Amino acid sequence: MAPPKVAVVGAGVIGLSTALCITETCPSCSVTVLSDQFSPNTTSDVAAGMLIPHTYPDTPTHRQKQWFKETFTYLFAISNSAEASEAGIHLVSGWQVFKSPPKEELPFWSDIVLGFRPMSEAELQKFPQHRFGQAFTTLKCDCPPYLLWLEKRLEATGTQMYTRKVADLWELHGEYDIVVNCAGMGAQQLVGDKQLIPVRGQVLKVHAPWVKLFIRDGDGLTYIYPGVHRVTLGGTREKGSWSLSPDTGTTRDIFDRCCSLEPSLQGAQDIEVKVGLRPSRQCVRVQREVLSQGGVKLPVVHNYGHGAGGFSVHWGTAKEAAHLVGECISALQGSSLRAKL
Amino acid sequence: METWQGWRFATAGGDPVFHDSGAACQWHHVGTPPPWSHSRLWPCCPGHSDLALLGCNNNSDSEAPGHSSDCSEDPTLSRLWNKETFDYLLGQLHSPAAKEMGLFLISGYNLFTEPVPDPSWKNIVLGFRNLTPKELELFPGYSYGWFNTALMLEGRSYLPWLTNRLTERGVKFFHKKVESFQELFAQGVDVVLNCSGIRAGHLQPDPELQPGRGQIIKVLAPWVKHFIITHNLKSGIYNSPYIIPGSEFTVLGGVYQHGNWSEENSAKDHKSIWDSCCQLLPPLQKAKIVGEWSGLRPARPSVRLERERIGLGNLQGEVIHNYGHGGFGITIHWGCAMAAARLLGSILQEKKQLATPPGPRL
Repeated sequence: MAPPKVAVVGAGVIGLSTALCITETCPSCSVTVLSDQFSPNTTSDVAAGMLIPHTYPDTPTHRQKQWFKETFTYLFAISNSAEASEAGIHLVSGWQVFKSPPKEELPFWSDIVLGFRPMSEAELQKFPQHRFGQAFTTLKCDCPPYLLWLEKRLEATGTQMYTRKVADLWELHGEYDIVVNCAGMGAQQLVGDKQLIPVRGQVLKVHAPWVKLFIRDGDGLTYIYPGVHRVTLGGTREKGSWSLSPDTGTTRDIFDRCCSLEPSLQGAQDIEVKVGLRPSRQCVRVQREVLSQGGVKLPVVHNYGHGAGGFSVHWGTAKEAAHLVGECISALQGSSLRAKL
Repeated sequence: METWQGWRFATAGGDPVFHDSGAACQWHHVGTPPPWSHSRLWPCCPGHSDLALLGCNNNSDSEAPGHSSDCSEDPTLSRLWNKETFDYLLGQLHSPAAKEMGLFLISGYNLFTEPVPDPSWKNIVLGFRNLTPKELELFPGYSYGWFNTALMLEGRSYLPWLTNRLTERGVKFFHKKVESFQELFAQGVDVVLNCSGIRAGHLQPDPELQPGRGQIIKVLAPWVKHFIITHNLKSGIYNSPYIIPGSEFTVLGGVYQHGNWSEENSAKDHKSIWDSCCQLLPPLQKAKIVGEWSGLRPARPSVRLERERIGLGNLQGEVIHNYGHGGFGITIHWGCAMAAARLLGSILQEKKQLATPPGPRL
């Protein structure tokens, strides 16, 4: 059988990392990335890229923990290497603060991030409206740098990348042997997944280089995440909203909420407003499927629905998806052998 | 010179405000304490006048080579000044002035090659704790360390801010070299606050005041969000790398040369700083170097903070000395300033009592 031709649909953090994992697990494969958007115009580019997991209600905790651990370990190594600045990966310390007692005293990821501990009384004095808090050190993936770095690594493996809107996975049949669906929010239309809903997030990206620590309200709505050049201020979680236009009232509200956590942000400059639609699902869909139409089969691997937690688990799900691609290849090789008998 | 109730005060020293390169590189000398005094080991808290990291203290009783280990200052004073300064600035953190002052919070790492006792300032800073094994994996060669959140105060913002505050209060500034205290007394000055730092010896010889030469490299590395300060207890002199991110630049350093008056950048020191910092934090290899600078820390076994009556006859007056802060000036500056102000208060009080007319003779 000729080297399998794999098409990865989607060029956000999930598409690019999955493509990269496939080139590593299957060096003989020919991998092509197809997407209607590339960085800086993907949903991933809007995200802050903080490694603080989102909890998926229907994915078993041990699986989420495994994905997070693999992602953290992988990025931790890059953050301490000469590639860190190009990849946009860096450590950042800070606080998660709560007005009322958190549901879990010890989230499942507390032993994976660094130095996790309750905040001291003295630290909590900085947040008069909050009564509990957690301090820890985690990683941040700045976009566009991280996506551009993934693209560069893909190019080095000979992976081709094309701007192309795929309206139907079947269009790829014949050209490609296996299709990997990393279309994020696009999967709703592409595969008709009604469980996938957009959760609109508006953020501000500002110039405030004196902000070195992250602050996150445990309700997940207000956060301050310092990146390499800009600080991401957030945010909103609007279920079911498809609007990509910034809302001025929301901008004011986000800014006010963040300033109440960090007053020095009043001096922030160059405020940019961005909107992204989190591709949200009760569980991340990392799954093999064989589509069938008129006696013709098309092996598909799905890897979408990461919602608010894409960056936190991307490498873990990419590896799992690559493994599933490996299974597809074995199945194809098996049936190709049988066909010869 | 400000006048107050007919009194004239002058502050000698204090770097000319818009001096671009700032004052001497500030950090302090840990020295090699004799075993019995290891409890007085204070971690060095390097900074640069451009940025100074507060909270972690200073070595007020440094055993600098060539000096007696006789500590002429109560270490609790230094600790008190450290706490007063940190608490004062912490209180300013949420004020609208914070950004203009160059004041912000920052977290980071103090690294050691062997376990050490907790520092006396552990409860002054925020969130002090030991490093976990996973964190230590980031720093091969170091087996022990601390994590804490401290304050950064950038001199290049703070000095102009102070100048503005003083100007608002009518304080006048004169950019001139003061040759002697007498020169000021002759002009009618009653009290001089001597904050002349490394040059204090010109005004009055002080063999205890020595330069602690430092050199730093300024780089652009905006992805670095933590300070990293290493300590080398064995060498006795802390020529040990440190990385301190500011709001715009990151400072790389780790040089302390006692007795060296040279303010020229040394290529040898450059290489040592660059190599050791890149080894400490490999991503720095891609950082862009934008400047280099050398300075003289005004090192002294203890800070000289005291009154002195100087001169004779017409040419006499009070001097309040406030110099010799080594590498930890910003760390304790506010506590020292208040102490100096209290000394001024006593002087005024004494003068007032002397000036009070005698009661009626009966």
